[in-house]
Amino acid sequence: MKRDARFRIKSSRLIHENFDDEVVIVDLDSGSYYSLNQSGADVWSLVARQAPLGEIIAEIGCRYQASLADIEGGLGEFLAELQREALVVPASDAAFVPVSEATGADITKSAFEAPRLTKYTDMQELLLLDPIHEADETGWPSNKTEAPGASG
Amino acid sequence: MRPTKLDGPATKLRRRVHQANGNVTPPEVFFDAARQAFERAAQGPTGVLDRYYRFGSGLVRLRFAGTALIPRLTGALEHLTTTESAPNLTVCLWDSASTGVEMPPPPWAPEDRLPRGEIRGYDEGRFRAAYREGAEALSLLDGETQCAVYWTRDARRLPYYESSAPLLTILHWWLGSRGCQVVHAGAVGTDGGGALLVGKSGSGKSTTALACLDAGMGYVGDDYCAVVTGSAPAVQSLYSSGKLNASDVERFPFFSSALINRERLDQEKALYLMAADRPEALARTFPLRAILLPQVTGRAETQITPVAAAVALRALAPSTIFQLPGAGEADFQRLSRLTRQVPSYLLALGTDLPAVPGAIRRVLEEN
Repeated sequence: MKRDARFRIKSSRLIHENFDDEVVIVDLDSGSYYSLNQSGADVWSLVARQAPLGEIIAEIGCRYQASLADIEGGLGEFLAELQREALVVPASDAAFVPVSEATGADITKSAFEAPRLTKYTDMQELLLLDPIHEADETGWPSNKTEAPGASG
Repeated sequence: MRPTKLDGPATKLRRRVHQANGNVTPPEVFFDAARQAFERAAQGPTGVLDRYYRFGSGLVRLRFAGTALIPRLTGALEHLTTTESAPNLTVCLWDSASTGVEMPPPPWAPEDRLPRGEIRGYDEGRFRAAYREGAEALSLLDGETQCAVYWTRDARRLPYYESSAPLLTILHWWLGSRGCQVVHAGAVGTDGGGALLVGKSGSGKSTTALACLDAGMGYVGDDYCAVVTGSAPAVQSLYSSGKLNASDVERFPFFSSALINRERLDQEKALYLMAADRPEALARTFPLRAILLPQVTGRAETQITPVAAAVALRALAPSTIFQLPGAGEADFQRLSRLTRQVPSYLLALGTDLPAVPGAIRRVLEEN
């Protein structure tokens, strides 16, 4: 992956919240939701600013204790997974918001854990609860079930 | 009709909704036709019957054309009944089977109905619409006139979950416009404040809520309630109903008189209407002190441990947003703020059910 490659969050249908050590992402279309670990959250924030890959690598290197090779390897896999999940896409013409100068010299570096995406699909059924029926002569779908007995 | 301040750019592009035959019916025309259908239904022998309910700072008038829907939709609202009569929202309700009046055909194409039941072109802005096929129920809201419509084919065919959480979609839209967030959560508490019980179906929310009710704690609900966001979050009751799996009914014999569908437990969850059975224990509102994430463990002892706000948001947001037509970014942001404001805990439920309320009381006392 080229150092000048940039990505953007794919859609406004992806809503997300950044906490200090985790990002929660909800996909309104698929019914999936995701959690990113701390380094993944850092990468996500940088992707949201459309930072080029080289800058992301450098920024992560300032925050975490790891070789650039390990960081770049972890990032490559992570970004590939984000693309497979349709969370990010290449941003060839997106507006670039410069990342503020890295303050790595003043930051105590944390132990590096490769960025990780956890996917949850246990709520997908909520988007698909209703069956689909054909419309009848009134124009409205009809499930034609028997009316149950009256209850209180 | 001129654009209103409620219409965003996307709505302005989608204001005209196409019928299957290519004709164009503006949303306001369909809404007006629905209102006229209600007025025809109201010409029946029983006329219109009005009921008033207070939801926090808002007063809702339900106008029933005919009586068929009243027993189906008001039981879970009974605790909010009021004699006040200056409504902020009016909902017009009827069914076709008992009134003989049909709803005008939908002006949208079948493919315009989105997964949660909301209708493309009616999913933001002044007019909102959603159709739930399982309930054969249409919900409409005009956010400018504060008038809503609820129609179903046959009141007798309404599923039990519509009786458990009546008008949920309309209330979600309307309360959201007033800065109040409907959540998929139970809530219980004491005079000093209460806790949300958050998690997907099967996590133990209802069992926990009913155990707390039986232990004398205030009961706001077991499945849906409303949260007033802001500097001092508070939870508000929507429904006095409760639901249990049929297999859990025998664990709560003290609620047997509130059980209304005993003969259909092979097909439905057990549905309880608490307003008549435990009116003194029903709370309308309390300050929100904690968010609890119930989890069935199989161990004997109940344990409560702090969890991060992100964990609470994962438990709260998807199950809320994915089942409420039209829910999206704004709802998510309200829920996010809530999890940052209020401490969250994992409620690891022990098999000793009577001990659960005491554990929750201790957390509330600490917050």
